[in-house]
Amino acid sequence: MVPCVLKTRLAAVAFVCAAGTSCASRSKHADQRTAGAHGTVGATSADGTGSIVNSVIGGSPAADAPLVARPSGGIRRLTKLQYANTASDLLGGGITFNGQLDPDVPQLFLNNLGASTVTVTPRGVTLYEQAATDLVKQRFATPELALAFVGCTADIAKGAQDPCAADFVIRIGLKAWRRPLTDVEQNSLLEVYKAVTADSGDPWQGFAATTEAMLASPYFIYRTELGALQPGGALRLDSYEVASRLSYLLWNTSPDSELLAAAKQGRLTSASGIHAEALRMLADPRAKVAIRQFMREWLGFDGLAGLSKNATTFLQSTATLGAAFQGEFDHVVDDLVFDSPGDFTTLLNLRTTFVNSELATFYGFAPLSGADPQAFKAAVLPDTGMRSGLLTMGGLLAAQAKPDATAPISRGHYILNRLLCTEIPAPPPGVPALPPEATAAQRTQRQRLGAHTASAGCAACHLAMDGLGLILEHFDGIGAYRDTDRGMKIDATGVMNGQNIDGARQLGSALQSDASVHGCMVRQFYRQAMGVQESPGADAQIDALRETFARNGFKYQELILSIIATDDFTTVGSTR
Amino acid sequence: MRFKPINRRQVLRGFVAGAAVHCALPLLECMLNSQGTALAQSGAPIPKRFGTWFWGVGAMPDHWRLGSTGAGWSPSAGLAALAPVRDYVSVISNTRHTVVPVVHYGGQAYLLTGRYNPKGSDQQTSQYGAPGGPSVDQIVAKAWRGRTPIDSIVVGVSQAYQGSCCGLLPTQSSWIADNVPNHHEFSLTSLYKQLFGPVSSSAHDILKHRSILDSVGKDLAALQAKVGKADKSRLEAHAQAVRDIENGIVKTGALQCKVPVAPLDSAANPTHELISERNRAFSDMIVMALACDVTRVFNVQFTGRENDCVFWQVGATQGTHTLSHNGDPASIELLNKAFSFTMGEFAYLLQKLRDTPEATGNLLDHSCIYATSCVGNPVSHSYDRDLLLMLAGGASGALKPGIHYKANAEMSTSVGLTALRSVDVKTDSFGSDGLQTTNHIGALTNF
Repeated sequence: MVPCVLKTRLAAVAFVCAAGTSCASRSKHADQRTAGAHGTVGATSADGTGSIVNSVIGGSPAADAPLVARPSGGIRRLTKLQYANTASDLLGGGITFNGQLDPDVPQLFLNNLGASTVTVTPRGVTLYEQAATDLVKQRFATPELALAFVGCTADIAKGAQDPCAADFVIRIGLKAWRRPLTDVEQNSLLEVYKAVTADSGDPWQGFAATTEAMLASPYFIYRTELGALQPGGALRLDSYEVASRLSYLLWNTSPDSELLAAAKQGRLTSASGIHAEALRMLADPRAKVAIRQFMREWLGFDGLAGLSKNATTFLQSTATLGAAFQGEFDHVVDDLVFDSPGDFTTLLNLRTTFVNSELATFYGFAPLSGADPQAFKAAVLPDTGMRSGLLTMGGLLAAQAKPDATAPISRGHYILNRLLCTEIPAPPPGVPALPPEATAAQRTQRQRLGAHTASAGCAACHLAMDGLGLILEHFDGIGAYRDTDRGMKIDATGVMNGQNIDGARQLGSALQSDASVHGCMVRQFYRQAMGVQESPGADAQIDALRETFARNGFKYQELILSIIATDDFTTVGSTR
Repeated sequence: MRFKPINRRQVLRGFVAGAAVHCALPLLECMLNSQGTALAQSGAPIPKRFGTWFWGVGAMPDHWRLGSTGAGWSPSAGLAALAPVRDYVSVISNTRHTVVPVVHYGGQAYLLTGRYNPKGSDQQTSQYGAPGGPSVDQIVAKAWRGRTPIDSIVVGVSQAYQGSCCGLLPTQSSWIADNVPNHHEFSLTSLYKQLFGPVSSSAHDILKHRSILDSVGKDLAALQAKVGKADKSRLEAHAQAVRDIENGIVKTGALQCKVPVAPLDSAANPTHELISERNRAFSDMIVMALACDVTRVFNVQFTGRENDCVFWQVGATQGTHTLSHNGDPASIELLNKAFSFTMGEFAYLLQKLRDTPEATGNLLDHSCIYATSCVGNPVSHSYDRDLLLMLAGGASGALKPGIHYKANAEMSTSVGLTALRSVDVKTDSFGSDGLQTTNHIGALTNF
């Protein structure tokens, strides 16, 4: 039978087998993916796990997709959010981008990771062209607006030699491409200016076309992290590349003029200089928004406003509930990371939450006073209640569920994958169906999923996933509390690290004190910061960061700063 | 859908010059030779069109299996909706599919791209393997690149998919290359704009566009020289698309055709999707785009693989994938009804093509449409002998339509190969691993 081997990152094994059966777990570094100098990675695995499926199917000519290793020099497409922010910051004047682009492609849940490997489609290129045209049209809508943007008036007679045009290309080019332009690049843009101005007889049209060329350029659409070769094989990012890393990580937009000045003055070549800028940026409101977005992606709250449930099954279902759930999550994260920075692990076991009017009713709080029903207020969950922390947030429970029922497998997968950084292999080929059950409708989820234990192939993974997910069974498919499932009393027991658990609060508490979870928290932001999935070679670094995280009382901003302070943050393509 | 006349020059991106030829529907008639069998100007044959039509979660074999073989097959309950176009649809059953894929994803990849790498890392999930590429629609689009203003259109009808919330992407049914998905266009208005939207056509605009694209092209070339192999190929894809836009600028055309009135998108409600309305609006636009020769290749994903589209129209309150695994007879009955409904929507597109005259026949006569799913029996995830595969249209005489062909030794991938060869794409084989085949199904072809 095919063994299912779960891959954990830390030696501490952290899953549950409800029935006490062995879940094969993999200790640290068992799958040695070897990283080449520039991110070419073999997918061979020392313990053979990687080839389970392959041995059945046979080799495929399709190239192994890049399990991208350590940061390697390359290009990263701006996410849609980053594109919109960068365009707004560049053009100013309150111009916003609401158009269509190719969708972001999350990898390991994170858009920032997908951005390092995604290939733009032909349709996507057309959309970039349209976006550039539409944005420029707004900015150059009137001569007054154009003048305010360009900052000088050009003389047709002077053509590309016009100092206004030359100055424009240098000044706006720096902001658009986040680095000074080379002479060749300046001339290429001035060619556009010259040609269009001469043809139209209108310098504003020349400036507009030049701006369009900047926006449609790969240097706008992608962030380039090429680096310069250092002794030892690492590529060190230049100051402007570091500036962009900082600004897209902490603000989801291009560097501001102060950061560009720091790059120009060489202040980003030292750890202290980078630290000083990171501190300044974390204090800016944009940091809160960017970190919140990362948390949404990592913890599955992105796009929650689109939550849709079967309204017959769940009477609480409204068009606004998903957005309210997301609001709760945002407020909790903002509070824990920025407003009253505290121990981030308490996210898993926190009785303070934030509710608006709809959520107050949903969670059974007293109705909120105040004029604005959409406003969120802090509320404390009762100590004797069933809820505390992330695992009991309605948003998580509803998102990791079906439109009309719970999904214990999804919930268990969520915990293993997102909180423990455990890789769960794909179902083996030719998965048999669960045996048909004429009485399925009368059975609890636990009874139905019990069939997974019938097959050793299913059991190895599903005991862990199902076992964890079933601990959350007291919360139905929309996240409301319940005592029974199809009329039968719910059994929400399980085992975590050899400890008997009953219910979500105990699970949250166990996860909160688990070093594997702390390591996973570090790993997730490390990925976000580097923009690629790490190689096993980064494990030692991540472990050291985890220790620092613990020493600093699990303060999240400290974690951000310590990851930014690593050598990895300013290098790409090391052979480690 | 209502139609309003629009001049072809408004349709083509950056139309430069050329005498406007006024001809009403039937399309292309004014450009035909006197026999109506070829284009007058070049003597070239009427262009072939190619499409794929994908639905997710397969179909219960007992529901669709046909009693008789050969021409004039009698529709089963599952395929009843195809009765009006039966003589245009060949059903291929009982194919061999001996490699057991990694459930829906692998099955879909084998049928549409011929390849799947279970060890690979999908761009989206990073863990369920990666499809090979390109898919058949993009193989054809590449072979025909540059013949029409838009190489292909790729649309998604249902917007429901498993976990259709919270950071997940809709599934794909089109790939440009290995692990490079084409994203489906889910917006009716956006597709309309892409196909029929107003484009500026003045010489000034063309010069401006050229200048900008020249500059962008230089940047792309410079950047490509500085990055590693993988990034170079990412940028090459980008550069190719820029070149295509640039080439499109000089394309001229002078047909007048009728384009649909712009449809409106409605807010997506995953448990109450207006899937039929959307399918019909998309189909109308596809038919007009083919008739006007804006594109010759299309890809429709009616529902995604492993999707949880709720067919409320037949009384379902749960998604199809959920229904397939509930394990009770009532769920299977709903699943069957959902499939019959799905075939009704496929039939809509086919009828629309058939009812659009072209030369001495109709659009469907000149098309090959390959329809398939991601799995055979969705309950047991079976493939071998259980897959439903269809080829619709005559491909200008290359295909023998309207036949039920019960395979003996042929592999499932032989249908994809038949589709490709029917539209004159020269290829030695299709499929990989144990599913590679070099033989098309001769009983369905005239070549």
